Amino acid sequence: MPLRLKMLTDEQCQLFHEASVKILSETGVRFFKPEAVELLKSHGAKVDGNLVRIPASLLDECIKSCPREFTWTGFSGQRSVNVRREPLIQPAVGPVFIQDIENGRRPACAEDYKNVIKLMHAIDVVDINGGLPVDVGELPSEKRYLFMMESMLRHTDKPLVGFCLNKQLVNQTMGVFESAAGDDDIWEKGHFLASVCTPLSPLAVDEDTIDTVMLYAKRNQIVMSASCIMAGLTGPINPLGTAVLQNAEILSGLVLAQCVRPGCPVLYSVASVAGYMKDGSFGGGSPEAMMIHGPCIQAAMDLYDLPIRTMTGINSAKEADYQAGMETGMSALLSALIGGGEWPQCMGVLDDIMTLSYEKLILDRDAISRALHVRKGLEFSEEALSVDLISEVGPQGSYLTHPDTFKNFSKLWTPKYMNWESRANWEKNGSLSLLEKANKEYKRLLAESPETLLSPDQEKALSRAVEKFAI
Amino acid sequence: MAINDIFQAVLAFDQAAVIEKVNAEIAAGSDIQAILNEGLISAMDEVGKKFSDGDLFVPEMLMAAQAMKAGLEVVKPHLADGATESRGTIVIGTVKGDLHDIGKNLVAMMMEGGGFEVVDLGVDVDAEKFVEAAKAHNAGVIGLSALLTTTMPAMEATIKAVKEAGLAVKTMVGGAPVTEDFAASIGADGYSADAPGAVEMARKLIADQKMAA
Repeated sequence: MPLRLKMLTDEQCQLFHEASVKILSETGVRFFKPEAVELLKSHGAKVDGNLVRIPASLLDECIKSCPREFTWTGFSGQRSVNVRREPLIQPAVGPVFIQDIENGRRPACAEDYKNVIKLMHAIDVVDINGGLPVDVGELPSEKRYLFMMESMLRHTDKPLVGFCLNKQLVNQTMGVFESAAGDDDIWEKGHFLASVCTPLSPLAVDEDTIDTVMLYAKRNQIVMSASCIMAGLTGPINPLGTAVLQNAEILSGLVLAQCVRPGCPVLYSVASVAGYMKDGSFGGGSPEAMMIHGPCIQAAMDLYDLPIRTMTGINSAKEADYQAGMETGMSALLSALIGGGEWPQCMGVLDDIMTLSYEKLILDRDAISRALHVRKGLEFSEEALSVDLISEVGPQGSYLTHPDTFKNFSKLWTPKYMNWESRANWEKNGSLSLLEKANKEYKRLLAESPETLLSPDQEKALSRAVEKFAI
Repeated sequence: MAINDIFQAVLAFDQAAVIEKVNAEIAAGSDIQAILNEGLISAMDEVGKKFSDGDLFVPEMLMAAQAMKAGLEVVKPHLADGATESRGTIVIGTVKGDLHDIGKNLVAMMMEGGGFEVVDLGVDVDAEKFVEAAKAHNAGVIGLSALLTTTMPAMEATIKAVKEAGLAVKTMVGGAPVTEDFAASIGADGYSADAPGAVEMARKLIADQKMAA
């Protein structure tokens, strides 16, 4: 049975939920698009200009109409994942720079984007692909996301993350998917794209975010209703207070999505941190992040019964070093224990999500795999208690050659990259540092990546689609 | 020394004490410029230095700025006409397409603390609005902020518009994805990684302008 860390008692969790309901129904949220305000008003929200107060009754109705779980399918239909509680690993979202031990840090370019999509496809623990694992500043907006969609569709068949953009660009990115699929009814046939949609904390939603929520919901695609508060800056300095605000913000996005299309899939997505109060910035390494997420994930699991998404693995490290490992590792373990769910930001991220490291992208696999292994908890059974076995082996006996050990040894976790070798072996093999090992590995994975996963006909369809949606 | 008491009260984030001591100094006939420069602005310079050194956290810097501003409001009516002697005027805003303002607000507060007149245009500000505001307020510096990589080009567009308008105003840029290299590549006159650094940079740019004039 999975281990679970609850930060609140059940009674406290109910009070926590009621605090968020009070914010939504009395303080309200600003929606900077009249069409959204009117829609919410028509469903019973109280409206005052662009300020929307969401009554408890509307909130309850919208939570109930969300699917409890759903299937997220890749472009080719070959791969899909079930989205509910089981951990799903997604690439990073947002880094502007890329970094490796040979070339240092530099702005990410188009080639880096393609490389990361290929690596995310090749790495076993990664379930989801696409989105914005690195930004490509060299390309203007009208070309940038089109290039990214083209890269995703070519280099992976894992289910994809799309983009939160203005209306024109959302239609461009979804349009190229639809056109390349050769099916203008594709959106009704499954859930293929997800977009993370984040308010302007505290308690406001801008037009682009609203447009993205409305377009994704209308097309029955996945709305990752998120909240990215920095406690002390855009939310209360008290982590529980920021959790209340985070819950309210996530639920406001969920309500909008359900009013557009009841039953469209929503991922309850936590992404807040504590502010780094020394300089008023994003505190990527803050341990309070998971303390803020705890109550929210608990409510999402026990009260709302929604699929969950937890920003995991972020850190403030400038290099793939001890700090990076410690902050990512602790974040991964806590995230696994508070609930699991879908995880962005745990593959390769450094420096408050400003940078992606090729080497860390390889090594993080072990942190994630290890945390998810611990999450599984202990198997409890007569056989697991091993009384008969212990009696049989007896005092001073050996377990090493016992059939039970032979049958079950592979259930213990072992790393793919962390160095558990004997020192002698390690020296014999060249005493490679962990980063040197990871450097070789990412290059190997890239060298072995196919140029495309698409058939010649699919390639043609993709090229036509890209041409059609060029601005 | 009594003016030093004002300085210390700002450093103690004690708004009430700042107001009381400024009033006391004015009543005692102390030189107004000395109260302003040595009591208030110098205190904020020290706050900025302590912040950059990591000795003060942002909430403390903001409390100090609030206390200083309260003292400034007491001093302002006593400044001689024509001798308002602000250190210059800064027009500041977050560029077109970008709605993020935390960093920009910190810089604006520190600029006020540094004795500048600050015209804050808010967020999502297009190039023309920056140019018009700089003209209207006879600004010495335009400060541009961005958090999104997609809005960084708007910085270059604004700087271009400023140059095309033939304004003598200097430009400076900042924000999480912005670097010194980027600032140089788009023709900005200055860059800062943090708010106190922005005050220093603004002072340098205005001093350079005065020397060139």
